Order: sequence, then structure tokens, then C-alpha cells
Amino acid sequence: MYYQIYKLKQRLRGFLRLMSDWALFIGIVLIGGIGSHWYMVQAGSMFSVSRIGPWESWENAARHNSDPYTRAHFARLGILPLSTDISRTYVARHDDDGDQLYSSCDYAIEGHDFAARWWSITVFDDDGALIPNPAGRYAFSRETVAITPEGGFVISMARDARAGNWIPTGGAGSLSVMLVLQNGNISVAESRRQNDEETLPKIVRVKCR
Amino acid sequence: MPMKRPVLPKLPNMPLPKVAIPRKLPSAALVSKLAAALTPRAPAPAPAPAPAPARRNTDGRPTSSFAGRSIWHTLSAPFRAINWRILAAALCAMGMLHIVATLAAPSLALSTAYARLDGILPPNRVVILPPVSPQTQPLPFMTPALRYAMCRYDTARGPVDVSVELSETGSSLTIYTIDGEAVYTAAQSEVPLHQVRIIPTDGRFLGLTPEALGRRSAEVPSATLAADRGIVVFAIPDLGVSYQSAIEQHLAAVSCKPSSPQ
Repeated sequence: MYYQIYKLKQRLRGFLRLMSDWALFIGIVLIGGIGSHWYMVQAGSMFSVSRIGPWESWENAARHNSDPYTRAHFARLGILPLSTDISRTYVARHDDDGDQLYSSCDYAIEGHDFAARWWSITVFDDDGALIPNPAGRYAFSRETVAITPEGGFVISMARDARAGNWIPTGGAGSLSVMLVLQNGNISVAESRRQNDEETLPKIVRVKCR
Repeated sequence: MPMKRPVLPKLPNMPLPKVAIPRKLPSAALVSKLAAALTPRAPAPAPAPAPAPARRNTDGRPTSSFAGRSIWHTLSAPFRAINWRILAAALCAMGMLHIVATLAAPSLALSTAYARLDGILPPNRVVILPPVSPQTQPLPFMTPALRYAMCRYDTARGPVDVSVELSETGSSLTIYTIDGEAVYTAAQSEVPLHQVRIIPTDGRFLGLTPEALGRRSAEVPSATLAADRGIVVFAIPDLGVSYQSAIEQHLAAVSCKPSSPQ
């Protein structure tokens, strides 16, 4: 009788050990495989994304020889970005202090005119949708922004009207700001040199309610 | 024939020794004990060398090496329970799953840009999109600072010709495949007219060229690329209400149509 109980215990112990091994195997494969895939596609790595302050840019967006993470990123988002052969697209979801951009706060985007041939700054919600507003203001570009005599500009993101370059953001929740710098048909090396020399604008939080 | 009876030799007359007859038969354990006692013994192995006495400090406590070994033994106890072969196999499988998921993501994505535009763009025809607003925004992160003309090309029936003039600063032409890969990109340049011929990827015979037929070609494409299906996007900066008619003219000048037979 005791011998049978002993054998039963041994079998149960072996079964549990086998199950724990399989649980470890499946856990590592699913959590590690899918988790690392999600992170590399969603947030990117130092090999695919360049980060300058709050701005981040996928370096091989819409390029013929783009890496699989970049392709998967834009396929998942469902967007058609401008190719990095002729332009550079930056997206910021945080201000310069690292806090998430939120529509209940007022922000100022402060910068100088860029060396790029054409540029635009557009404010979206976190999903990339434009924020409805009666004024119909969603973006500013080189042609439409008001430049100061010193050659700089300040774009206000706020719920209430502001003087100058104002983009209404009321009721949007989390915000994302997209900056597009288009260099035109120049070599990749020249494009990178220009992008490295560009000073990207600051996103300063003015106040929060 | 009668069998001969053997004749036994006559034994000498001597008394038999007295043997004590046990009352019980010996048990199996006793037999094995006896057998073990009667078998010749192997020489005893040499005694193992006595372990060196543990080093101790002057106050009698073990030295750090002994304590370190003990701590290491305690700390490594959970790791000794890990099946390292399973762990190695799991890491390999994790890498394979990561690679497969990444490579298959563009094909498995449910709402790709092509899928979103498929319903609103007829094949091989240019559609001038209205100014982008929250109500008319067809794709995420599409800036209203640009106006767009798009064409969903399909080379199933033959090549498709795309013609665009990139004379305005900030204007661009990008030809995407169904996976969102840009196979052709151009921006404003000194030679503004871009004529691109998109041919099928299956390598079918597309007919003789005008030169092979002894004629001079009327149009020479600036580029030829192979793609089956995708989206042609022409973007031009929206300069404001005052420039709407000029921008509309630029957008209307974009051409995307099946290639005419030579």
C-alpha cells in the first residue's frame, strides 16, 4: 500500500515537472516572441528609429529597401508615409519634459524656419485622426505659418483661441504632433546631413487645467 | 536378455558421524547470510583521504571561501531546477516566432492603407481627394497641409502609365505597392515631368516595342517598374484659398491609365 502511494507520488511529481517545463517553454515563446515583436514594431529600436528630444522618426519609412520592422509598423498603422528618400517625418507624443501631450494642457511649439525646402506641422489625436474644430485649423506649413522678424515661429496648441499660430486641441485626449521636412530630390547622404543639422522645435508646456 | 545386476563393493565397517538435524529448515535470509560468509572476501578498498579541515578564522568561524560556497549553493538552487535544454529550445522558438510574426505582419494587418483606399478608388483612374478634414480624412496621419490625387493601379490586364508634373515646391509623387513599400519616389526637380510605366511582375509578353516595329516612340517613360497592385499618390502643398484653382489644375493634370497599345 505504501509502495503504491510512493509510486503515485513519483508519477505525479514527474507529470508536474513535465508540465512546468512545457509551461516555461510556451510562456517564453509566446511572451518573448510576440512581446519582442510588438515592441520592435510599435516603438522601434535604435537601428530603425532616431530620437531627438521628444521627436522620433522611422529612418527607413516607405523606402524600397526598408527593414521588416518599418514595413510592419506602417502596415499596422495603415498609413502611407512620405518616403525618407525625399523627406523626413517626425512624430512627438511627449513634450520636452517627457510628459505626454494632452488636450487639457496648453503647449507652445517653438522653433526656427527649417533649411528644408518645405515643411509642415500637424496636430492629431493619438490615433492619427484630425481634431475637429470650428476654425478648421489642423496644420501649419512654410507657406501658412506666421514667422517672427527673427525668423522663428511659435505655434500654440490650446483649447481656447490664441493670437498668432493657433491649433485648437479641445477634447482630443492624448495628442501627437507630426513634423514633415521635405528636402526634395537629393542624395541620401545629403539628406542625412541636412537632417542632422536641422534644429527641431521645442514643445513647451505652458499650463494645464 | 535379462539385465545384469550390478555388484556393489563392500564398504568397510566404520561408524557414521552424528549430525545435528535442525528442527526447522533454514530461511532464505539465513542461506544468503551463510553464502556471504563463506564466499572469499575481496580486499577492502583503500580508505579515502580525509577531507582537509575547513579553514577557519582565528575566532573559529569558517573562512570566506567556505561561506561563499555556501551562499553560491543557496543562490544557485533555483537555477539548478531549470531544465536548460527546454530553456534553450524555448529561446530558439521565441526567435523564430519573432521573425515569422514580423515578416508576416504586412500581410496579416487588417486595416492597411491599401485596404482602406480600395473601396474609394476605382482601378487605374485618378481621384482628386477633397481637402483633408476630420470628415474626409481617408488615412491616419494624413496632413491637411497637402492636397492629394490618388490612383489605385492594377496591372492584371496590362501596363499602367502614370504621368505627373512636379513643378511646385513640396510636391511629390510616390508609388506604393500593396504592402506599403514605396517603389518609386520623386519630388520637385529640374525636369518636372515624370512619366512612369508600371508593368506586371509575371514577366508576360507585352508586345513589340515601337523601336522593334521600326517606329519612333511617341512617349519615352522616365522610369519603368514592375508591380502588380498598389497606390499612386501625388501630393502638392495646399497654399490656401487663393491658390485653389491653380492647385486643382495641377491635380487634374495627373494621369494614370492603362498603357495604350503600341
